Amino acid sequence: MRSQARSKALIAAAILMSWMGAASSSASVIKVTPADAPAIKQAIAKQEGHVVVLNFWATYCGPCCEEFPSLVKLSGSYSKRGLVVMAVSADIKSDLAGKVIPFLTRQKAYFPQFLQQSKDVDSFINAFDPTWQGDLPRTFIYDKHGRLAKVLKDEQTYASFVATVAPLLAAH
Amino acid sequence: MKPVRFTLRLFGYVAAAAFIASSLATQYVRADLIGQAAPDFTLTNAVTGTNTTLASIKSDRQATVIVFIGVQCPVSNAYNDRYIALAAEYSSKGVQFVAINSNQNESVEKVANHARQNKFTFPVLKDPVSAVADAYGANHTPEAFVIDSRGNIVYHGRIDDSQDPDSVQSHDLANALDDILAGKPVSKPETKAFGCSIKRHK
Repeated sequence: MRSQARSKALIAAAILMSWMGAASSSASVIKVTPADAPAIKQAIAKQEGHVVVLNFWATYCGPCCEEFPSLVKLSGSYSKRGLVVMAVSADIKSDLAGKVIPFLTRQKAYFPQFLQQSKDVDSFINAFDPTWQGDLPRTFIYDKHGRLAKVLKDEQTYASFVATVAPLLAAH
Repeated sequence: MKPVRFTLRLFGYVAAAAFIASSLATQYVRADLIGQAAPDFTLTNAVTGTNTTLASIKSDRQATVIVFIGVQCPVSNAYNDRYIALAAEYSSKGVQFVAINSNQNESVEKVANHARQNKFTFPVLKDPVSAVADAYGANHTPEAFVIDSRGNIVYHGRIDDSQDPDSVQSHDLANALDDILAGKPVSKPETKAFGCSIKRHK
C-alpha cells in the first residue's frame, strides 16, 4: 500500500515538473535592442543571402499597430524561405517597458526588435531614406544582397507584403 | 548563363529599377521647398465655418507658421500645449499661427470639437482632400512650415526634438522664428521627426 501511494506521488511529481518545464520553455521573452542607424544597417548587412523587411513603427501609431500582425504572419510564413523581418520602434525610451514590450509580447513578435536610439533624429531618418520625413509606418525592403529594393509607405496588408517580397525571394 | 535565365534576370533588374524609381520619384517634387513661394490656398475654418486664404493670413505678418496637425495622432496631441504656447509667445512679435488638418479620415466636426476641447487660440483649417498637404509636401503630423514676410517657405520640419516636453533640447521652430525676427537667415531650415502619417484616404 505504502509503495503504491509513493509511486503515485512520484508520478504526480514527475508530471507536475515536466509540465512546469514545458511551460517555462515555451514562453519566449521579447528582447528589444536600443540601436542607432549604423547598428541597424549592420544587422541588415549580416543577413546576406536573405531578403530583409525593415519596418518602422510605434505604439502611438494606430496604422502601425494594425499592420503589425501581418508582419508577424509574414515572418512566420517566410522565415524558412529566406526572409528576415526586423522592426524598429520609434517610441520614446520611457515607454519601452510599459508599452513597447507588452505590445510585442501580445503580438508574439519573435523576430529582431530594435528601439530607435540616436541623438540626432534627422540623421537617423536620413540614413534610411533622405526623402523620408519620419512619417510612420514605413517599411524598407532589402534584397538578398542588402540593397534597398522597395519602400512601402502607409499601412500594409499581409497580401501587399507578400506581393512585394515574393519576387525578391525568387530572385538571385 | 542560359538565354532564358539571362532575359529573366535582366527583366528582374529593370523591374527593380522601375520599382525604386517610381517609389522615390514623387518625393523629390517637394525636396527643394525651402526658399520657394508658399503655395496659396483657400480652406474652411473648422470652428467658424468661414473661408480663409493664405493671402489673408500672411498679409503684413513678419512670419506665418502653418502646422499640419491631427485629431487622433498622439504625437500631434503631445504638442497641443506647445502650439498654444508658441502662438501666444510669437503673436505679439507679428507671427501668425495656423493649423491645418489634412487627414481625410477626420471629419470637420471632429476637427472643430478637438480644437474647442483643447482651447486652440489659432485658426484650425480643414483640408478635406489633402490638397494643401500635397501642395506643401506635408507627410505627417505635426509638421511645420514657416513663411516669411515675402511669402517664401524658410523653415520646414518639427516643432522641437522631443515628444516629451521635459526632454526637449532643440527648440527648432522657435529658433527659426527667432532667426527670421532678427532678420537673419534661418540657421537650420530643414528638420525631421517621427510622427503619424497624414491620412490621404478615408
